[in-house]
Amino acid sequence: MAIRLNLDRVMAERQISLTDLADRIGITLANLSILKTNKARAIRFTTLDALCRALGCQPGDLLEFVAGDGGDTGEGQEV
Amino acid sequence: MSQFLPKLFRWVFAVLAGLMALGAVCIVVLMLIGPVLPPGAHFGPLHGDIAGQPATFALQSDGADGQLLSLNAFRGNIAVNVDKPAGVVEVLKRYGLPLALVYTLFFAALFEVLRRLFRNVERGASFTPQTVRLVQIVGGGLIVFAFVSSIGESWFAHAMYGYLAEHTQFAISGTTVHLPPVGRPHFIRFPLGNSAFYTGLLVLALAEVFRQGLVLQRDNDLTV
Repeated sequence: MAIRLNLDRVMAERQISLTDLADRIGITLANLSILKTNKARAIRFTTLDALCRALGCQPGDLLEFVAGDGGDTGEGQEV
Repeated sequence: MSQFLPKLFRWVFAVLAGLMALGAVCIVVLMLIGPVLPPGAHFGPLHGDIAGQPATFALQSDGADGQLLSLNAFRGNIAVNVDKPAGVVEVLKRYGLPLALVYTLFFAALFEVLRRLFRNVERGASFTPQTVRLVQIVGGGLIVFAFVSSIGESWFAHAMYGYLAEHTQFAISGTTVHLPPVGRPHFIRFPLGNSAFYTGLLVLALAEVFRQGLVLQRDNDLTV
C-alpha cells in the first residue's frame, strides 16, 4: 500500500515505547504492532485522534504517501 | 442466548454423528454375519391396513419344501405372493446393506463437519478459512452424494425388481398381472431430481458468501 504510517519514527522522536503508547491510547499491543509494522488496512479517526493526542503531533506527521510503493494486494493478515 | 444455539447444534450434530457411526458399525457387523432366512421360518398373518383397508402379511410354508411371502389387501382383491423369500433377504444383503453403509458413512461425515462448523461459530470464529472450507465441503459433499445415491438406489432397485419380477405372483381381483421383465431401465434416478443436489448448490452459494465475509473480517481485523 502506498500510504505508510511513520509511527515508529514519531515514537522514536518522542522516546516512547510501544507498551506506554498502548496504555495511553487504550488499544492492544497487537493492534499497535499492526500499525507500527504498516500491516493495517485502515485506521479509524478515533485511533488517529488518540495517537495525535498522545504523541503531540499532526496526522500528517504520522501518515505519508509513498508513490510507487506497491498497490493494494487485497490480502491482509489475520490478527 | 447468542452462544446457546451454536452449542445446542454442536451437541445435536455430535450425537447424530455418533449414531450414524454406530449404525455403520452395525451394518458392517450384519454384513460379516450374513444373516439368512431359516428354511422353517414363518410369521403371521399380521393384520394391518393399506389405504384404510384391512390387509394381511405373512410368511408361511408353501405346502412343499419352500416358503411363501404373501400380502393380501383390499378384501383379497390385491394378492401378492413371493416364492423363495430367502432370495429377497439375499438381495437386501448384497445390494441393500452396502447402500445403507454408504448412506450412514456419508451422514456420519456430514454431521461431523457440521459439528466442527458450529464449534467454530460457538467460538465466534464464523469467518475463518477453516469455516469457509467446511461449508464448501458440506456443499460439495451433498452434490456428490446426490450422484452416488442416485446410482446406488438405481442399482438396488434394479436388483430387487429383477428378483421380484421372477418370483412374484401379482393378482388383482383374481387376474394375474405379470411384472415387466428385468433389463428395462425402470428405476434410473437422475441426480437432478434429488433434493440433495439443489441443497448442495445452495450451500456452495452460501460458502461463497462466507468467503466474501472472510475478506470483510480480515479488513475489519486490520482496521485499528
